[in-house]
Amino acid sequence: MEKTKRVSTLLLMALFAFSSVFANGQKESLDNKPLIIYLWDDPVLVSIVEAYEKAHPEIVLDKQLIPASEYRSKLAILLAANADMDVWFGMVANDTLTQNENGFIEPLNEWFEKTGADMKAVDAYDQVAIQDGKIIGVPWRGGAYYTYYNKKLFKEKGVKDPTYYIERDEWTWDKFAEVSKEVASGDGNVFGGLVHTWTPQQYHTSVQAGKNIVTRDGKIDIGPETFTFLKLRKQMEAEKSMDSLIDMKVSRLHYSQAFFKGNLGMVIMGEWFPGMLKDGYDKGSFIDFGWDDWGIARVPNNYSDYRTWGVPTMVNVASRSNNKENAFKFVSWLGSEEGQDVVAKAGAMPAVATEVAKEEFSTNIPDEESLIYFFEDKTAMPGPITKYSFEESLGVVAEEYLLGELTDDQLIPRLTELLEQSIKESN
Amino acid sequence: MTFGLSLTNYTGGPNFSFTGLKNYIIAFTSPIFTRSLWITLKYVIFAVGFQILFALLFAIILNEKLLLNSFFRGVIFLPNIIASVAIGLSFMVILEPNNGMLNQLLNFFGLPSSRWLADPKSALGTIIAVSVWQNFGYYMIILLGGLQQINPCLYEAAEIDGAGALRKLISITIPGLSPVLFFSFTMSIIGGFKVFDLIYVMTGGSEGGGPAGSTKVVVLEIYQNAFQRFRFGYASAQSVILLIIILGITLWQYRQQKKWVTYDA
Repeated sequence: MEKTKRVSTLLLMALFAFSSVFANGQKESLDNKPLIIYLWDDPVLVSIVEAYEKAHPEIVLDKQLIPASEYRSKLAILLAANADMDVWFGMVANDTLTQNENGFIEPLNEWFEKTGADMKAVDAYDQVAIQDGKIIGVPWRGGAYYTYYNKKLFKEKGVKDPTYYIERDEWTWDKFAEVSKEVASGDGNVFGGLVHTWTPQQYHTSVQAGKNIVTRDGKIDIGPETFTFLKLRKQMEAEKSMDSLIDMKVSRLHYSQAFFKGNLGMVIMGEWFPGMLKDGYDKGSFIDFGWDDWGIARVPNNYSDYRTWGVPTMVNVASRSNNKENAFKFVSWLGSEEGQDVVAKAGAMPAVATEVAKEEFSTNIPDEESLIYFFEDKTAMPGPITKYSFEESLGVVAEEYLLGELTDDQLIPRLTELLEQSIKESN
Repeated sequence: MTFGLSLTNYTGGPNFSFTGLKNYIIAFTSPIFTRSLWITLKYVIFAVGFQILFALLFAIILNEKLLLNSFFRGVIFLPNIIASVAIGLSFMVILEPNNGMLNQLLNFFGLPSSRWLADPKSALGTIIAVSVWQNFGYYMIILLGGLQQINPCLYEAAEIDGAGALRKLISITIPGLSPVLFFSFTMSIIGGFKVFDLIYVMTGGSEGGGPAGSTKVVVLEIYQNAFQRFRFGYASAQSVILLIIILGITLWQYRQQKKWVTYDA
């Protein structure tokens, strides 16, 4: 009996000692716990994350790569399922509002206060990065739209390129349509200009006018400017100076392929496009034009101050993260000068452009003039930042109009009717 | 679970509340949802009708002792074992409105071309045609099996009585096939209401639904609400409505079968 007691005591002590050692080990492994990061399979994004890994070997990254086309829906499911996640890269700014409402996002105010980390990137895009006083993410990539144009095609056609009109303050949407017509062959073999099929882009002029279509508090905010581009597009499609939106949708023609083919004069596209062009050029995708044969200019603009659509891309810390300190180190590094230089080197537009970042980015740009236009001062309009889902209404109106099912006079009442329904459904 | 979610404003996170039947009221008053139901119904009527009609026609033809009979049966059945995504992508190329293979072929023979998927008037019909081509072989094989179960003596007796081909079809073949036809109709209708993959692939993926929403079926509407707009509560309500519709039609079919299905042929 006595022997049994002793053995039991010894066993219990051994168990206690083992538990203590194991618990210590656990603590150690928590310190070195890999940082779980979700991102999509964009080579630019991957190279940025890899650069962080190289610069911070003490932090182990567990990179969860998801194909871009599935990223938004998979991320929503992962968040809903409380998957292990410390950091995720946001794809669409408005998704962040829902994620924030659901308490998935760690507010970063206290972290910034505590660490004194660089807040320039947050301040640069505060309309999106700060919601209800909470810093919900760090913008790592800036946002702006530009006119990318094929210089060679312009020269061949003997048409003055966008920079000529920008210098004269004449680069309006009407001028864009006019120049597109001059460049186009008129038979659909060469198109002058292109605005891709994404629904919001058909309302670019609305954003430039400061009309947010639906405000944060669910009010309709549209006017005649909302349809300026859409009306031009209809005219341009009829003249065959722009490819049909509906044809492009059914053939799923990617804008990069349309530009690479060498038979498109201009494309209105976002700040990520230089990286895509560099990648396309390196892969030999350019047809009948070279690296020096394209340029960047301002997006068409009907206002005296230069306005472009600019929504940043953010990175967020998960509120359920067990590794928040390292998670904050990562996201604040992305917004810091060092991180922003890496972003620029990778071929993305930094949220905060330092001289070093501009220098790094210049390898993705064919000439000095384009670099100046890329980084010049601009008013970046964030567009509709709202939890209301109304994109479908915009798409229906755009397509009904382009198909001739709506007249100019019916645009405002039809969109109003659909937006009212969307707001009602969202409430 | 789905029904429970349909009674909330769940958007994928812990902060949601009970909203009762609000999602159902929104769905039934939403022109987008009711239109998607109507488009789905049109798809079901035409796709099911043509699938069964072609299946029956080819089953009767290939039930005869023809040369290369097995080869034709295999060829007709083949599209059914190809992934819908692959079929959708192939037809996107074939039906491209400007330089697609089909339009080029029509132009070569001096026939008028069409804008197929790019025209709201023809988009749904085009998808129905592709769906019929893909699926009727499956029902043809089932009906062929049914045809071979019909007692040949019945046809011999009918011939002795002087019955023609049409009389034999109406009085022997259709009643003899009625249990298999009933199964085919039921499965085809259920499949029709659930159509998604072809429309998703052929009309622009997650932004799909055809020109001005002309091919936006219920399942695509549910998908977009759940995974594009994260309105899981509303999407769940729409899913429940779809379930009730399919269940209702299936039960109605079961009740109606007494009138036309015979199990003693």
